[in-house]
Formats: sequence, C-alpha cells, structure tokens
Amino acid sequence: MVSKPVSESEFLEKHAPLVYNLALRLVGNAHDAEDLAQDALLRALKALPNFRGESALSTWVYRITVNTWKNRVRSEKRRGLWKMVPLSLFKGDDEDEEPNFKDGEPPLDTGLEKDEKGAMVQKALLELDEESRAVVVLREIEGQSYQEIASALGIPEGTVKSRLSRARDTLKEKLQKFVVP
Amino acid sequence: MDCRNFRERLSEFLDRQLAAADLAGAEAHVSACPGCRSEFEEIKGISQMVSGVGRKPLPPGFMQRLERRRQAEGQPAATERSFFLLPPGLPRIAAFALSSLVVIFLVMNQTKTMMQPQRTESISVISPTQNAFEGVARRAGDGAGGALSSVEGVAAGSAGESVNVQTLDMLKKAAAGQASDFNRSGASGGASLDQAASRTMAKAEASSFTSTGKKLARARGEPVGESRGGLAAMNAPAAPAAAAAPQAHQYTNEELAAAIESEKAKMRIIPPSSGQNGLQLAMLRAQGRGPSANSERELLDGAPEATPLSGDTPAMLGTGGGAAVRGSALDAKAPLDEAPGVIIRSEAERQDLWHKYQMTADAPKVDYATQMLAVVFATSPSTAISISRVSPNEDRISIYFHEVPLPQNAAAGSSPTYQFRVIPKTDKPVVFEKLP
Repeated sequence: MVSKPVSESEFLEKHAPLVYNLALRLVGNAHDAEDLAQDALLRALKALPNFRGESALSTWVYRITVNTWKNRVRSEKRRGLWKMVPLSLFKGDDEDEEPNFKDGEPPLDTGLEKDEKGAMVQKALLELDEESRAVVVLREIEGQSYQEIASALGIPEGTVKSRLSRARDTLKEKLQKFVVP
Repeated sequence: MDCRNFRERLSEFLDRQLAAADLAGAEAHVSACPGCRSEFEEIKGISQMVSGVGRKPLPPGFMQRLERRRQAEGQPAATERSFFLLPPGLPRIAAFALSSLVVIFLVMNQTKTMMQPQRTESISVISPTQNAFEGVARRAGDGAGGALSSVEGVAAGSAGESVNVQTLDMLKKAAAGQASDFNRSGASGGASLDQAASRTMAKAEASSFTSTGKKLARARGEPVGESRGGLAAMNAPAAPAAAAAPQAHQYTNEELAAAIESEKAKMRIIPPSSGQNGLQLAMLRAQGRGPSANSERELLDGAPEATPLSGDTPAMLGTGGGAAVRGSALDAKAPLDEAPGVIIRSEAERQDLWHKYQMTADAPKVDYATQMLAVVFATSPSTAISISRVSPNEDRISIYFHEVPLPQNAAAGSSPTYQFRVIPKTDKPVVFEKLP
C-alpha cells in the first residue's frame, strides 16, 4: 500500500486531538497528557517522512503514542520518583492561592471529569494495568478494531481479545454500581 | 454454546467479532439464558459507560506550545555543545575515539612510570612557577585540559623521557586558559568557584608534587636543557625556547618541599576570596541583615506560624524579586543577589552554600541522583518565606512562595529567612514565583 504524502499541518490537525485524547486517558490528567501528547507528536513528525503506509496513519500514531507512554512509565519506575509521587506531597500549607497560568496553559490537578460517573471511569481506567488500559482506551474510547489495536500495540489479536475481556470484567467490578440496570 | 463458552466469548460477542457460526450460537444462548443475558447487559453497560466519557478538545494553546517545543528541540542542547570542550561539529564517535586514545596512552604511560625506579633524593626542577602550571593543568584534568595533560604525559613517556616542546606549549595554553577562567570567575563573583577551586587546587598541588617528582626524576640524566626549554615555553611561548630557559637548579628534597609550600601559598591567591557573593554577605552583615550564629533559632522560635520548625524550614538571608533562576546559586551566572531562590544539585554545592552563609540548619536528606534542593530566600529580615507549592510544568518547574511578615516579637533583630524544599531532580528550568 502506497500512502499519500501528508503535510505536517494536515497531520497535526487531524491527529493531534487523537493523540491528546489517548494520552489523556492513559495518564489521567491534563498536564501530563499534554506533555505526553507533545512528545509523541514530535516523534511522529520526525518519523512522518518515513511512514510507509503499512497501516492507517492513525494506527501508526497511536502506536507511537503508546510506545512513548510505555517508555515514560518505564523511565519513571526506574527513577522511582517524580510522577509516581503524589503532587500533594510537594504542596505547602497554604493551598488557597491559585497561581495564574500564562498562555492558557492547562492548570495542574484539574479534575478531568466533572461528573462523578466520568471521574469514576477515569479512576477505574487508571487502576487497570498499563497493557489492559491501553487496549480498553483504544477500543472503547478511540473505537479501534481488534486488528488496529493489535497493530498499534504490537501484540497478537488474540492477546487483544483476552486483555479486553479481562479488563472489562475488572471494570465491571469497579463500576457496576454506576450502571443503570 | 453453553454458559461457560458464552462468557468466555462475551467480550467478542459484544464487539461483534465472532465468526458467523459462533455469532449465531451466542445469540441463541443469550436469548435463552437469563443469567448470561444479565451478564451481557452488564458488560454492555460498562462498555457504554467507558465510551461515554468521550473525547476532550485540545487545550487552548496546545499547538503553539507544541511548535515552541519543536523549535527548542531543534537546537542542540548546551550540554551537547560542551562535551569535552570539543568543537560542536565534531562527531561523538570522534570524541569518543579521541578520549579512548588519551585514556589508553595515559594507562600505558602510568604503567611505564611505575615500572621505572624512582629516584627523588635530588632532582632537577625548573622553577616553582612550573609547578603552578602543572598544578593548574592537572586541575583541568576533568575536561580537555586533562586530555592535554595526558598528552603531555605521553610525550614525556614515549619520547625518550624528554618533554615535547610543542605539546608542552599546548599544555601551557590549556593551563593558562584555565587560570584565566578562574580569574574571570573570581571577578564575576562565582560563589562556589573560590571554594571549589581551593579544594581542587589542593588536590592539584598534591598531584603536582607527586607527578613533578616522578617526571623530573625520570628526566634526570636526560638532556635537561631540552626539558627546561619545553617548560620555559610554557612561561613564554612566543620567545625561543632556548632563550627563555630559566637556570637549572639542583634542589634537595627539603628545598623542593619548601618551594612547593611557597608555591601553594601563591596559588591560593588565584581563586578569589571575596567574590560578589562574599561581598554581598559582608554588605548584608554590615546592614545588620546577615545571619548570626543563633538568629535562625531565634527566628524560628519566635515565629512558628510563619516558618514552622520543621526539618525544611530554617532561616537565612537573601535578596531579590521575582527573577527566574536556572542552575545553582553557586553558578557565577546566577548570583544570589539577583534571585529569590537557588537550586542545589549536589552535596558539594549544598555544603558550599551552607558554609558560605554560615547556615546552621540541619542538612536535609537529599538523594542528589534523583532529587535536588530548592532554596527560597526572603528579601527582608522582617519577613519569612513560605513555599506554597512546587508545580511541574511542561517546560519548567514553578516554585510558588509567599513572603509573609513576621510577628513583631520575632522580627526584632532577626535575620531574613529562607525555606527549602527537596524536589525531584530535573533539567527543566526552575522558576521562583512570588505569590501576592
């Protein structure tokens, strides 16, 4: 399959929101999501001239995003600190003052979901193991097919099925009370 | 399809991923089995609930920030440019090869030196000044100077125990450049350099003593004039080596030790003892604002609500408004008097700061491999610092702090305060932002 060349602006316009949303669900807060999304997009832009069209561009950029996220998680686990430490540990006594963020930067620690149900979904997603979280987000929120998920994550389709099935069972345990019978 | 089979494939059934034959069996089962139907409805509800969170729009300014990052990452980092003080265009592989060669030659030279009998009862030296140059060159051993120093050692070891004039000229230039750096640093008031230099200088002197003894002992019996010419070239590279050669002199051990002691005394003058930070401290003291031995305790005891008596809340001095600082307080480019806060990235820097400003607070436990220390200073003896929060941002770490008035009883006669906080280590710039 020969891919049609995509300009950087076209690529960003279409895929930046996808990457940001995937990042948002993977990391669970707007600030880290933006950081991750920008890392992934910068990587993707560098690699874009070499994109061979062997998969959909969206699948390719999802894969870059997930790999960037995995690398980051590994690195943070190795360092054993930073984002694994709750931000609250760094807060001082006076929490009343809200700093002014310039240039429309996202405020830190802003609740991702305003409603209780949304917040519980995000919390439940973050409690899944990383591999299962990626599968669920790509399937349920990004609407990717099993084949696309397998391609994005570099795993067999059978693994996608089993992980998704287990993850749904786990989510059911955590979210059952919110499901309207 | 039975219940067990159905539940195993429920997820695929939900996603319509079953093959036609299996799909028909699953549909038949779910319509006939109330338990499995209920299970299916629950999983379906969960799936809809998760997908219902939907997508969020890009945050405002996302694209602009992405573009800024892209531009910033397009430029080589400062650390890359300064790798071993090599030219920026030099490929890393070449730098690595050069470094490896230097190390190999250094090891070979050292091995050869160790195998030779050492005779140091009476050795030829040129002048104590050359010791100084060698000491300075040794001090440059952390960087390119080290490489040049090694090259000099190779030259001495491989060229029939004689010293290569051209190589020594290079060494001299490196040494002179290093000395010049020290002087410049002193003029600009690098708070750490004077102390760090003193420590390094002491090491360099010791190294100089040993290596000078070894080398010159080796050179004994060799054409001393050539060696002297080479060393003289260090002092006066523009003059012909032979013409600039100083008088050879036979030193006994005692004379040599005395000469080195004399040289050590001179060398200690090189690093500045009163840079701007030292002056700042003196000025603050003159204004009654410097820290006294017990002012910190008095301040803390008098104002527990402003600066709680915790491990990370001692009291100290400082001036400045809301400027951003990157790097260390001990960096000559970020003097304390232009910033409200400093970042300490090593125990040596912390000790320098504590020592420089006679800080008596217990040293915080910091793992400098993963953490660093942010210190925020008050601008007045009648105020205290309270760090509100440390916020990691996309391109920087923001430290928000309040500067609050001390109670009257605590403010009288107290020093300005500071507060420090252990934060995760990062290469991002750190910005100190004062909250109203």
